[in-house]
Amino acid sequence: MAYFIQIAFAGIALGCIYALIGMGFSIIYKASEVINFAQGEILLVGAYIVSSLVFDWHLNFILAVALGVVVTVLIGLLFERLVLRRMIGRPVFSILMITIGLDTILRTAVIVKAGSNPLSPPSPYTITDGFNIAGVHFGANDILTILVTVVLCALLYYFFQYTRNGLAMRATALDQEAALAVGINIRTVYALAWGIAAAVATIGGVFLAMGTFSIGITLGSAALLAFPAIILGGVDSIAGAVVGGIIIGLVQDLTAGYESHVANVLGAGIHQITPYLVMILVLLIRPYGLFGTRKVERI
Amino acid sequence: MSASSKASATSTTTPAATPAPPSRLLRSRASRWIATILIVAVLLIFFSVGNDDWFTIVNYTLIAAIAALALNVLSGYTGQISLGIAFFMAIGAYTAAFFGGAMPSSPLDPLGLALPFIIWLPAAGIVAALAGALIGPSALRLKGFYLGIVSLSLIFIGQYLFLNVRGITGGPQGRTFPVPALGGATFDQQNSYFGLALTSGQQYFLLNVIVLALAAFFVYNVMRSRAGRAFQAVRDNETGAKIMGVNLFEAKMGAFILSSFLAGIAGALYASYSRYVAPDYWDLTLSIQFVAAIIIGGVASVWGSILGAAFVFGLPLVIDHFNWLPVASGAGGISSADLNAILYGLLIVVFLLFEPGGVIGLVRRSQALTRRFSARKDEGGESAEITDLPADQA
Amino acid sequence: MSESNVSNGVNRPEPTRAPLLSVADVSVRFEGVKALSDVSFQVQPGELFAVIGPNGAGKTSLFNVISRVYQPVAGSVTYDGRDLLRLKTYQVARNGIARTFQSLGQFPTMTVMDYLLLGRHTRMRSGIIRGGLYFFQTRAEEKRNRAYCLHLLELIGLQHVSNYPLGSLPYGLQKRADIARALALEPKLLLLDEPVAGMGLEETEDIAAVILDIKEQLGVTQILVEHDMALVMGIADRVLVLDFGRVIAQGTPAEVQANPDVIKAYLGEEFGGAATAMSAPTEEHRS
Repeated sequence: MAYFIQIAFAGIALGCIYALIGMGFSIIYKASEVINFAQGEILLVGAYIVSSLVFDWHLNFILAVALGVVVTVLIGLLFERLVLRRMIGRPVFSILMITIGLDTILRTAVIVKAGSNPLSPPSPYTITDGFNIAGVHFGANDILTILVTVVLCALLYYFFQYTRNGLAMRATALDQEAALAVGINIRTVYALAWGIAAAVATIGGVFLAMGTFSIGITLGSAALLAFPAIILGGVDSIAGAVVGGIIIGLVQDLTAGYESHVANVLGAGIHQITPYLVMILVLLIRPYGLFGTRKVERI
Repeated sequence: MSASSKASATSTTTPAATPAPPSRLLRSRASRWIATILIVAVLLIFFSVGNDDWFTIVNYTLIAAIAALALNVLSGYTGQISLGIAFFMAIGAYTAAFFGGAMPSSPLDPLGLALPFIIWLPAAGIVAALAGALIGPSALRLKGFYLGIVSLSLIFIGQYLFLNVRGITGGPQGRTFPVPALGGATFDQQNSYFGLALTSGQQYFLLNVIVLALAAFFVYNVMRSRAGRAFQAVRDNETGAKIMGVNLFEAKMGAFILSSFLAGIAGALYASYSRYVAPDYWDLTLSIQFVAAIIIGGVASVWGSILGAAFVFGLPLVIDHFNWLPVASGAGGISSADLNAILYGLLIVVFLLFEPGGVIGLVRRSQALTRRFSARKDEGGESAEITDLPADQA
Repeated sequence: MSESNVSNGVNRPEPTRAPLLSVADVSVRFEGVKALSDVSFQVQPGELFAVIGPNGAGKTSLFNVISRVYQPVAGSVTYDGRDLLRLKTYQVARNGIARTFQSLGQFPTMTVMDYLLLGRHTRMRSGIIRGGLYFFQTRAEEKRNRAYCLHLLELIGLQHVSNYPLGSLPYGLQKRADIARALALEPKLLLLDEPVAGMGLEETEDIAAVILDIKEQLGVTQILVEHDMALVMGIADRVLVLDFGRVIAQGTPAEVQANPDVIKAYLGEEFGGAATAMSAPTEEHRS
């Protein structure tokens, strides 16, 4: 039982990271109908930058994270400004592919720069740090991840509900033309969307890196699992991203934790596909995810 | 009908009688014959004088072209977002291995039925097509990005299966794959046919050219007939297509089956040519490379598939051949694979921004421009303009 | 004067033949909005039947019911003696119902000829295998159908743009190509969704002539949804007026124009009282 709680806790923490990535993704999608395939890769870039700032430039951890966030936000904004602005109105496939293009460029750039040898993550604490309650180990990284995610969720909630810009973003998500008509600056909305998405992705990336103890190609693959989370929750639902993230995180870690028991029958590595299987199951019943909305085609 | 006289009288709405811009790449029959003869000539010359290294490069490119064609059928012409082509290629490869591989001589050996080439190659396509038929119905419920991620999950589910079904795939270590053979003559060594001695590369070359030509011709024909128009209608507007009488289920299933069939063939040919493949080869990167290939070469275009494959798969091999860049990744410098990845990533972005029709789109656009220059100045109407994902034939 | 107000199917005019299309008490609802409420009417074979009403009155919803894009929550639709509501969307075309689209630009890269051939989808047979092998049956089929479509294009005046992509054509020509595409089906019933929207006077006259030719030379039954009153009143045999999803009048153009409910719907209360007749239709569009 203790083992179960421990794994579940780690799973929730992992789920929080997916939730962060997913929220960023949904924010961009709601604001501009863009599918940002590169969301996971921004995470990788962010983690790498933070890591090199800490190790090569010997910066304080918090400062490094802050700077890392700034850099990835800039990358996101640049991409939005130079590329996506011109893709408005184009089919989903094209926009998806262009973000895959960005994803490829970013991933390869990190590989070239970092080499395929993983970098050590810049954690200010070690793997054994944490609390032990009744024989269950609650890792420091996990606790921090969950805490930070909750704080970020609260901040975002406050932002969207009570600030002018947040309200503008919600209005744009509902009806872009109407938002334009009342004088909302769509450019600002897009920029904000990408900025927020990059920021939360970087923070998530840092935690993921510290959790997996490496920054390399594998980090990018780990981030790929955010997509089943996003799909499961529904691409245009921020709440869905959080719910989906937690579910996927739990599924992944729980299966990983217990898969040795079923290795005889199911073989190795089933935990890498259970998230996708769960996603497919949900899609069978709800083809737009748990909280997603149907798109209507005009004739 | 009285309408016709009224219609042609209103000059504001009807362009003057210009010869219509044809939708084929080469206009006149003459130019098409010349092009065909040129291509055959180039192939023949290469066949005679090419050395082994170049045969390797060309053979891999030809095989990649078949898979790119498969992806174009599904995504380019029918608009179904798919990142799963590597999965169907793998199915084809492992089917070929199962039917054609050597009989296991020990319990640790992977399975094989040692059936002849004439059986295992089509079987690869058929089994992959069956897999496509299984996946196809999901495209009826899922749209856009949802479909894309489900197709992506195929890759990972595939990886899991291939790692664990060691009997067929050889597990993480991989396995060897059967060699094409005619009678007793296996393609991995030099053989004599009708008194003509052919190297291994030449034999594979002939095989690949024939398969690619057949596949390309088949796809080209489909796309200029009823089924192909239905595919493109599904891509452009599903509800409109339904209203016009297109059965979406049949259309999407047809696209999936045809696409997976070709992908399976390509996978079998690739594995057989490489002789040895480990399961981690069929990964997401491979799928993305094919998507890049059709975007760069030309979406919904047979020639575009071939050109795109040449660029994304052939070019790195050429760079490796000349040792312009180190082959391995991550030695601190940039490898040919890395450069290629950055290059095709960039080209995806550039083409989608400015010329979504790919290289073929550029060619058509320049054709339209030259036509405009040579047209008389008081002719009305606009030249054919390619917007997104052109529906034209090859 | 048989009926000038709402017909609930009980008081019918005595038809000479069975109606081609019979809509009875159809209601459509989505997301809490009732797009159509208890709509009933009949269309006789060969008739040119118009549906008018202010924006949002439910005209396109009506077409969507007939094309089987929407499923009504109540009511029945009989077409050619059969229950239309049992059909799926893609089966409608096969049964001879063709429809033009209100918004264009759905198929921008398809050439006009390919678009018309697409319209003939249900009249052709080649599948993937036959298409891929091409030279055995498909080639002949393509030639035959291309010739037919070219003939249609000549009738409608578009033969010299047959190889242009739809998206490159001026708006009026796209609309015309859409009508040709619907005709390519060889339909029994043609649904025209705002065929002259956004057109000037000359183009409208051209299309009106086309519509009348379709009626008189091809004998195709047509249902026309339009905002252009002069066109509707000038060429329609009978008119149905919708407002907020309800039928408020039905009858000949003259009857409908005199109907106070119709006037109220379009011009507001103050004009509804006086039975002001709208200007009489010009005679030149009559055959």
